[in-house]
Amino acid sequence: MSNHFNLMFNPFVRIAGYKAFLIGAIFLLLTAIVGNSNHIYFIGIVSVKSIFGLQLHDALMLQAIAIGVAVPVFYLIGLLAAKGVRFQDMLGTVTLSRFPCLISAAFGFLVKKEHETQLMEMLLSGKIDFTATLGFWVFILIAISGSIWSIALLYKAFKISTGIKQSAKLTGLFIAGILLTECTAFVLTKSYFNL
Amino acid sequence: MLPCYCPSCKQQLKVRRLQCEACGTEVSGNYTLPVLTLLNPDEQDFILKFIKHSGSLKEMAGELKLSYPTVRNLLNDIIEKIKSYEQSF
Repeated sequence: MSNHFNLMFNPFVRIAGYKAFLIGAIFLLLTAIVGNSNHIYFIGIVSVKSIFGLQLHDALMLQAIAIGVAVPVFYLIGLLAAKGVRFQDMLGTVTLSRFPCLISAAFGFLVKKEHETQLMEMLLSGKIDFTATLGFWVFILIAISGSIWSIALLYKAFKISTGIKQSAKLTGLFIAGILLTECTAFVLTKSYFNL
Repeated sequence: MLPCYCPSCKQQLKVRRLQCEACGTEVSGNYTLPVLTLLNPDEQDFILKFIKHSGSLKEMAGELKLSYPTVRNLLNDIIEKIKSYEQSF
């Protein structure tokens, strides 16, 4: 039981490289399909949004941007900070670290289009009625948990792929990687949607 | 397991006496323990497997059912430990 629990939070002890990439890519594809059907999209590696009116190719493109930015950013940081970092390990572990996003995508059905207007009305009136928008709040909890889980996995992915010991250096480099990835993914996402 | 550290003051032990089991001859001196004996049994086992697999981390990962970077990190930890032992000599 504890072994399975450990694997959920650090699968990279057992799996890395192209095998992890293949499994991670299947999860990404499923996340894009399930997320698109529930109007849930993942921008960068932290943000989860409910957007109505996007297509499956948009969901796939957003996943591709997130991974396409995160992998080179963390790989380059790893190369600068450690020796012997393999691209396939970073590719596999970073891709697999996104698997909790599927859970957020699966619970996206809890968010209804009318929640947006209901929440705006509540904000304007100053009276928050949680029961009217319960599905939305449950989803927020699930999405936050999924994002934290995914970030924790990304941290483990970076740690194992680079071999850098638990230290302030590792944490600093990881935060720098997150910020760089988020900024780059944000710019690319904006240019993709011509915003 | 071979005792390597003094149970009283935790300093590294040295070999004072060796004996031939066949004829009973004893050799006395002040010999330093080899670096590899200072590693714990798991680390010594890892080194043996590493040699048996001709230094192939990929094969080691397969046998230990661990990922390649995990095995590489374990090896790096042992290398660091050996370096620190060598510096302390």
